[in-house]
Amino acid sequence: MAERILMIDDDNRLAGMVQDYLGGAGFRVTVAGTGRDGEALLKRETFDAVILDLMLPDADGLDLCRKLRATSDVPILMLTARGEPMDKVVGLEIGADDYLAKPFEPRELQARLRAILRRKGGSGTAPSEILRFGRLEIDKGARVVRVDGEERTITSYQFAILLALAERAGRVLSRDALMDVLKGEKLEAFDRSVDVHISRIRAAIEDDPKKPRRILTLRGTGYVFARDQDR
Amino acid sequence: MQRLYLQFYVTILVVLAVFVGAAVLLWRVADDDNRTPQYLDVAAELTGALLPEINAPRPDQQRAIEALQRKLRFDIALYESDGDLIAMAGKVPPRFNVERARVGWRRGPGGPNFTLQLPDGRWLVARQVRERPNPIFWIAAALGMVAIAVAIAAFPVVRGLGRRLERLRAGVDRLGGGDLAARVKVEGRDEVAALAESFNRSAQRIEELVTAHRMLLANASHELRTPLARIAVAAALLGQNADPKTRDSLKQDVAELDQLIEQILLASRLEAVPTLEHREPVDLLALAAEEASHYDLEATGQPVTVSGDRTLLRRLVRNLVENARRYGGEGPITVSVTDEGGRAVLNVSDHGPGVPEAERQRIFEPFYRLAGGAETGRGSGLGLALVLDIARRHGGDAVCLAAAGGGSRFRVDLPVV
Repeated sequence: MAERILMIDDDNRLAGMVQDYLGGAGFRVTVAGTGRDGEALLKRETFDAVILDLMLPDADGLDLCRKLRATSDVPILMLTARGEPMDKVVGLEIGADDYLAKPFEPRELQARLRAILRRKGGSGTAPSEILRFGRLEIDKGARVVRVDGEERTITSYQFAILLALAERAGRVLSRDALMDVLKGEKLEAFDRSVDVHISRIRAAIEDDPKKPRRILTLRGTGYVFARDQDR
Repeated sequence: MQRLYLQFYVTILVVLAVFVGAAVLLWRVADDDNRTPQYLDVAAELTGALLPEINAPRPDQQRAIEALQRKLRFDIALYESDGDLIAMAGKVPPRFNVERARVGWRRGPGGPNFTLQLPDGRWLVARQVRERPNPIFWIAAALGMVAIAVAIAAFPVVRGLGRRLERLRAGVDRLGGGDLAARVKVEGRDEVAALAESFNRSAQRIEELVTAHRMLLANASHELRTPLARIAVAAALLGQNADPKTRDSLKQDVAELDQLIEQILLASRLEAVPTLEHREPVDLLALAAEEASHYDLEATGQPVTVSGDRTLLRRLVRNLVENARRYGGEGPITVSVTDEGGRAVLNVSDHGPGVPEAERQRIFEPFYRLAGGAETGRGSGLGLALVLDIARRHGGDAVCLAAAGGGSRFRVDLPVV
């Protein structure tokens, strides 16, 4: 069944194009041009997710988001053309599930929508601790890794390496330090060096394993897990 | 710095000291003024009439002096005109020197003396028995007390004035430091209070202007990004039908415009705040590697941790790499981070045409374009200006050098934590 999306944005032409694009990807998009229309539609019908613009002619997107959050737990993806770092923090703090700055790639909008829909879909179980880096999710509880909400297969040792790196994102981790962290892990293949495991992980989670964006090699020094992976 | 209230206060103290000194001096001068009013002559005649003749026997003279002493309760001594003691009553008189004797009241160690020369040439010296201290001392002491009282009373007044001025100065400094909400308390109704009021009014106006300016920029950014978002979506909607080269160049243009808007916003935001808003430990090598990876480059070097604003440092690295990619020709771009004796040094080198020595400083100016170079390429023209601003904001510097083997090398050094 097609997922129903409500897009609240006063830019009719953009909304129309997003409607076409997401329609082609199997979503059913309804557009509301004002905050009031959006609220009315949400009361009348049920939606699987809301795309909410931060600047609306009749309402402040942040207020609207807060209001929606008070009454429902529908996933909210915020759009903004302001792009101030403050907006992002505030948006996520008041209950938006994700945030995308205009101009955006429709492909990315689609991927993020899928990710927040999946996240909400699995909310029956207790929320386990999840590390998020843009489109990448590392679920510590379930010990699985997802890109765009899609599970990628890696071995449990590789997961341990990935987690060790991700928990130190933005810092250089030498091979020795990495081995130290992994000491407690059961080695399943002694003959393979860390580098081989890293390239397996890359094959699983990088868009182009030859041009890694997530796990970077620093020759002669070690590895870095990128903090800011999508832009 | 010379504190204003101290200057005021020292001035008051000096004025008081001068006043007391002048008063004492005047007293002395007035006192020393040697007048012989008529009453002295009258007193001499009368006293002469009371006392026995000059050639009367000594015991008579002694008796007469003692009688006088009982009546007047003065220590009294009678001398010959040549200074020999004839008779005395009461305490021993001070040494009497005819050479220096003068009629009238005189201060002496034992109290004021009254000296008279009788018409027949004898000298009579009387000293007040009630030992009153020196009146000069009393006057000086009284004046001193008044001076101390004035000094003590003046201190809080002067200090209060100084404090208000200092508070005003702190307010001006805060405003200058970028805190546009800085206001000062208006105390009293004098000139300082009026100054505080005008300061508050000016600060209010500045805040309004800057806020309006920022709002304008934020709104302009919104207005510019809205059509950009449409173009980006439209480019994606072109789908497979479109020429991939056209689509990619369209995407590139959208990304460039977006970057330009962001840099203008960032530059105006930085203008408003002269210091760093956030500080955290940042692994510069990791950051450089991350940024380099977006251009399919690898960073090399040693991990160095600096304390700074991660978003700004990321912008610094990105701008340098972007600059190298645009103007650095075809050759490889190298990104390295090293620790050079307490300084974290980031080098980004390219193999482009390089920058003439004369222009290596000027290229950090906003929107500066190399002279002589034909169309050197597109660019925001703000990228390097932001690099320099961010480096300085972190207590470091950015310079452009010639790279070994042609091209340019941009070197940023930052203090290590």
